[in-house]
Amino acid sequence: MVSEDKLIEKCLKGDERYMKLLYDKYSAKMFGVCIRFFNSREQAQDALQEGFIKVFTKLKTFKGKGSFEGWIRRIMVTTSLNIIRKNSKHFYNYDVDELSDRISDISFNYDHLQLEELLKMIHNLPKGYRTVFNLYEIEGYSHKEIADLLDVSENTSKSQLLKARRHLRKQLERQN
Amino acid sequence: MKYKEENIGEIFKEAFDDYSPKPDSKVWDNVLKESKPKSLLNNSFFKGFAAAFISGVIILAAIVLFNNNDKKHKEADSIKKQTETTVLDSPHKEKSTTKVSEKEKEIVKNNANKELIENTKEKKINKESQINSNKEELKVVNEVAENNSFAKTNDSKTNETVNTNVSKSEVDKNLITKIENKNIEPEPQHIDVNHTETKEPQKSSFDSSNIEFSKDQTICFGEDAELSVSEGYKYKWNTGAISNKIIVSPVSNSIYSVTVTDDNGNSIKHDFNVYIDKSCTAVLVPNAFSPDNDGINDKLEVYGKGITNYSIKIVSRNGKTVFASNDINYFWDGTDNGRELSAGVYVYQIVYTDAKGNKQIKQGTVSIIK
Repeated sequence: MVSEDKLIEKCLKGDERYMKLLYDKYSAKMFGVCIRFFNSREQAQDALQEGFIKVFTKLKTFKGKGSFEGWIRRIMVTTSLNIIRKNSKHFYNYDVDELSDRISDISFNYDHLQLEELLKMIHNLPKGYRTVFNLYEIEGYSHKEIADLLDVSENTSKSQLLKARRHLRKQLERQN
Repeated sequence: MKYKEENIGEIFKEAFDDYSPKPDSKVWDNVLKESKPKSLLNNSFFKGFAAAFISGVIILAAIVLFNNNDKKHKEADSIKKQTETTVLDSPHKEKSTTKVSEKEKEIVKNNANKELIENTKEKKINKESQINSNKEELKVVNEVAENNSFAKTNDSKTNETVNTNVSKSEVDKNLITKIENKNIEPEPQHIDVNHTETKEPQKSSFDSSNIEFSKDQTICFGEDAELSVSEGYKYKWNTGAISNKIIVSPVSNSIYSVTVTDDNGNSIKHDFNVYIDKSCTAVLVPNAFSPDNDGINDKLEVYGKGITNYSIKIVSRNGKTVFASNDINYFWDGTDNGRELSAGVYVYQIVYTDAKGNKQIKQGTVSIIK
């Protein structure tokens, strides 16, 4: 196993083998982060790709404070958010627009069925709910942070989260 | 089964804790390609850095000013604390980025300088090519003048008119080429008769019978036409091209001309006619559409007149076929069997038989805009 410091040092020098090592170490996990924000595998991969490009080009700014994985993860989250923002004209006008926002036959290879179903539920959420839910519940951001990131009020963040939870609860109960 | 809404998050968080799906291998290829230093400089990301840096400077400046004005240290301290905490709270890690952003700024500056240098280089090259073409023109003029003085000894009648023409033709290149054609052809006859001109043996006759020009042609609207001249000479097309073959896509009846020059500097001009047959077209494909049901460009409207055996296939960047049809009037709606596709670039291949009965394959990309 290569130590994290050495990995970073080699990547900074542009050693492709170590860059690949770093990518292999984190890509799957980070893909897991990105995929929750998008209901299309392709978009999630775009986010992952853009995120990793940022990781490599921005690597010298990582000062070793806090965990490296956490740093990468934060890049993935902000990159995903940027893409969502770029792609949506009316980020929070989802209620009518996104009722039909349902995925049907995306063929992912999930580790097990339950996970697949849970992911599908997240994907079934309107984009606004999904984003807040991911940030708050899974990535552990506070409402204040979310409000700053998404440029909305804290109350919007809170109400989106409540709606997302209700949405998911209904889906869970329907499934059982 | 009933769920408490407060616990929903935990259910999902636990489930996704070690969730690690594998991305496609192409992602790595792209990352590697884009992570090399060159693309690093162009990354808009660094503009963000610069912005963060500038805003950081402004904040610092504001604090310094505020502190200077305010002589009460206690208040100043509390403000400092406040700003410190807000910086810490900020999810963007401004603290760490401002330090680095100075470097980034330098990089951006360097990049701008490079661009400047490149631009001036380009300008130089342009100038050079202009100079070259000017030289060529001069050459042509000189040659014509030579030809004319040569003709002078033989035929004074044509000579006078030619000379006046030459002085005018310094402005008009087309005129020069016309004169050239007139002068070149009678030359050999004069030589045979007089046998006096042995001074310039290199000015041998320009045997244009060996040069083959492609024939005038009729194409359907939107099609390309290839114009060609046999190899082994220098060429100058009115389009600016200098190769022996050019491909043109006129939208109306057009005349193209080429001046062919041999090693001895003799040249000949030829015109090509390209006619447009309005009863047929090539297959025309827009390069983008927006499937948002607003009634405008919601579908990929492929157009073709007089074509047969049409088939289209559209493939996503993953290599998945998202649309296929044999009917030119069945337009792609930007979905994969009803499933909405993300905005981006898709590749199409269209195979058809054109109005002349030739099989054509057309490939290209089309963007879904959302």
